[in-house]
Amino acid sequence: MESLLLSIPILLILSSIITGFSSKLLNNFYSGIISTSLVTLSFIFSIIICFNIYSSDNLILYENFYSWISVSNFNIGIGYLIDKYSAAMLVVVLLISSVVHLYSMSYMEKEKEYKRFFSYIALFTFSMILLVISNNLIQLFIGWEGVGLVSYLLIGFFYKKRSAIHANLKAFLINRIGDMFFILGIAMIYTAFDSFDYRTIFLNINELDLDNLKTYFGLSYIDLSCLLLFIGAMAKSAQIPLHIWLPDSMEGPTPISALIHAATMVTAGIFMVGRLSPVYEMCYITTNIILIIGASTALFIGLIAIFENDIKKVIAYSTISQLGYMVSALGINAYTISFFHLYTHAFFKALLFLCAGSVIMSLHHNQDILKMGGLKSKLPITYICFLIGTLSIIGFPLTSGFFSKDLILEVMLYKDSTISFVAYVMLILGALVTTIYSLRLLFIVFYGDYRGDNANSVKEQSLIILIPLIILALLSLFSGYSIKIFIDMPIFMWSPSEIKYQGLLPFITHGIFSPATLSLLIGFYISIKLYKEKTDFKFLKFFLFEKSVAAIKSKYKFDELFLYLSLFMKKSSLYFSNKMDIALIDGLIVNGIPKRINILSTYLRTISSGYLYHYAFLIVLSLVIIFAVILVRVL
Amino acid sequence: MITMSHYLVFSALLFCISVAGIFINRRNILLLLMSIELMLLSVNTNFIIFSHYSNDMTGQVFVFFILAVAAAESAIGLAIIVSLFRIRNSLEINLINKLKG
Amino acid sequence: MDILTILFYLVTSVIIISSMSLIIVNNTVHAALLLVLIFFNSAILWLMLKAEFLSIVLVLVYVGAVLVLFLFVIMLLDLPIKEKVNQKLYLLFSLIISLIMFIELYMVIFYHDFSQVAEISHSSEFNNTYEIGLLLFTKHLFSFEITALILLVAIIAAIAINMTNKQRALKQDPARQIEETKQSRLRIIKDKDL
Repeated sequence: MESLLLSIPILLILSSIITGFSSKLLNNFYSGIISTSLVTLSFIFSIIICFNIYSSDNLILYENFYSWISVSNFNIGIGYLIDKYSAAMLVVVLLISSVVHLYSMSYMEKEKEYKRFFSYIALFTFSMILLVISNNLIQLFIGWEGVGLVSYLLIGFFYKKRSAIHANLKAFLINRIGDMFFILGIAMIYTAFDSFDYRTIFLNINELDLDNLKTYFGLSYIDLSCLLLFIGAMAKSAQIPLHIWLPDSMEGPTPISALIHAATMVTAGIFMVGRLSPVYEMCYITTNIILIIGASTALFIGLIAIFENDIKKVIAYSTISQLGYMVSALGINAYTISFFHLYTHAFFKALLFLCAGSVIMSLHHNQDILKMGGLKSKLPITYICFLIGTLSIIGFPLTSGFFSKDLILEVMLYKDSTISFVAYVMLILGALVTTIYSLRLLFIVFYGDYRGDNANSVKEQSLIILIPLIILALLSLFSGYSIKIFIDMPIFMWSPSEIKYQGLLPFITHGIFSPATLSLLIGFYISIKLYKEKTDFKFLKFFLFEKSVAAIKSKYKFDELFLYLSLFMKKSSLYFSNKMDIALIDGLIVNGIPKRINILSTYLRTISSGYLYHYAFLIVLSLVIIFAVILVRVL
Repeated sequence: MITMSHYLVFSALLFCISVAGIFINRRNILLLLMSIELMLLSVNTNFIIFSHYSNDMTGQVFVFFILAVAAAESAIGLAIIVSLFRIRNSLEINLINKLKG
Repeated sequence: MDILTILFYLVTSVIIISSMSLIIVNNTVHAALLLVLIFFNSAILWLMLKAEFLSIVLVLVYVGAVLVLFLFVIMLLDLPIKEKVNQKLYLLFSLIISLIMFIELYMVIFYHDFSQVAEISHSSEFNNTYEIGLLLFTKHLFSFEITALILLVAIIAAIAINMTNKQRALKQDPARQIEETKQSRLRIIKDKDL
């Protein structure tokens, strides 16, 4: 089984190398086939591994098979730690990745740089796998950075497009901010535990002498290190205020958006927090911060989606909002619940993106939803799949989103604290918002009349596009029924969940008669009135409402904030460069010292005249001085 | 009565005069060499004084060696002076400042 | 005041005065002759210190050989006697430095109070030359041989330094003179080329 596990990353990197470096040896079609089949093969391996892990009671694969850096007590190894948590993640990542590979074979068909694309996505998956199977923080960080790098490359895949270049730079820079804190967090963890290794950290966490560790800014040591790690996760998983890169990342090809949003990139942050859950269990303040950030992201970013007109950006904002749900679940220490939502979300979000891709392809790369409409009859299969995805994301009963979202809301109530109640209310409102923007998208795109050009040329895409949609649609419908696995799932050796699960049927009936369903119904009503029947709500046109709509439409001016901050940094660095670098360091130290030495040496140079008697004079003079010194000491 | 101190003061005086001679002189390199000889003489005198007053013949043996080495030194010094004169046609120390980089 | 004291002061004053004039004279011949005087007087002083052998050696080797060599060189080079340049500042500096040096040496001498050291008188059988020879050929034999070697090296070096490059001397080569023809020495240029 170990060899199977190790062959997964090897197959992926092999796929990346073959497609990336084969040059003219392989044509586009065959390299796509090879890449897809290699990823699918590794997906099958992961299924086998996952099956083995879940069939036994407490099997954990752990090995450090390579010592990378070893300096006295400082050890960095390359290895793997596979428990039920990471095995499930492995399957999700590889499933989405292989589906996206298959989809891309058709979607990217007409691109010149088809092979570069495949090389990138294989590398993307490889980095994510490296991160998932990692058994230490450094390997996790390598995967983390690899994911960041490849996302940079993929968002800027159309590198001749100016906006794409700006978007990928933005994504990379925002992720750098997070990474900086992430490294600090890793360093703090290492200082506390003297190891990067998960097992050592987890096994020693209870023996840690918390009283002897320093506290900073009123935060305990563990709190601060977890907060730093979480800031890294915020950048990766696009939480307020580091979410601004995600909508812009839509500049990349659509399959990439599916991959980034469903499996590889944004889930890394959630996964990391879950992976380190034994450490996060020790936090008191940080979890509350996580909860607040998650809940506000879920609500406020969801609001932006209502006013967005780009089909991909709507889905992108919905991703941020859904990630907010996952992060909120992390904030109440319900890691496996969060992971459950990640799991279901991966399917329906990938489905939505791939459907959007299908729509975009059919409409000849038009992404503006105002120019769509009435596609229900023209693209029936895409419509059905999109409908399933939409129902899933709004948590329509019996779809997968229903289970995971409801579970998060339930445990939020169960937590029973003021903050978690506030978060609960925000999440309920968030569910309402989710319903509105999802149904808005559905109604505008698929109902009404077609508003674009070339109505006759709009038709369903090839089977290679549709098969992934169908697979994902089925998964979106039925993946929620594996709820019990996630509730019982232990992370490493701990079983953090304390939920009294009474079976599927009571859960469903309980879920249906909950406030979430109420918000769903309200959302249905509002969106049907607003977007299907185009009713004009007169009472909404009061001043405050329009003001807040304007605020939402400006995306709360986060971009401007960052722009202002970076301008400020630029100005201050210019100031410091002038004052410190040029004046002080260059002027006074680097050039100043030689200048002064030069001045001094013009005087000293006269001593070295070249005349013998001058040297003789100096020799005698120094002899006299030395003699005098000795005399003074002796006498 | 002449004591050891008298001799020593004399030899110190001779040494100081010859040291002054080295850098007073800026005309002739031959005079420089002569000043060095004078210095050696005062040093030798010192050796002999101490040898005499401490009744140790080794000091005089050492003077013997110094005389031999000084003779060799002045022979080579004169040879250098001769070849220097051939090249520069002058023995003025003022003109010898090749040491300046 | 006994005769030895008078002799001491006489000899030392001659040495000091002549060495002072040596360092300031212009004429190198005068300087060399002054040096001869100094060495003779030193030999007398050494005799007073009962270093008979060395005083004779000083006269023989220094006056007889080294200073004659100096005079030869002076004669050979035929140095012009030039006017003294103005060098009062240097004179002042060097005098101050030498004075300080002398004061320091003086302090050392009187700090140790060497005037109390008693003179050792030897019997009439004591032979200075014999004693030096004994030490030289027993205890310091190796150094003695090395000294010989140094003298040899000095001889070779003195010759080697003054070996003139043969190319520089202007000499006739009869063989080449015979071989020269009219064509190799003379070139005829037509008038119109000018």
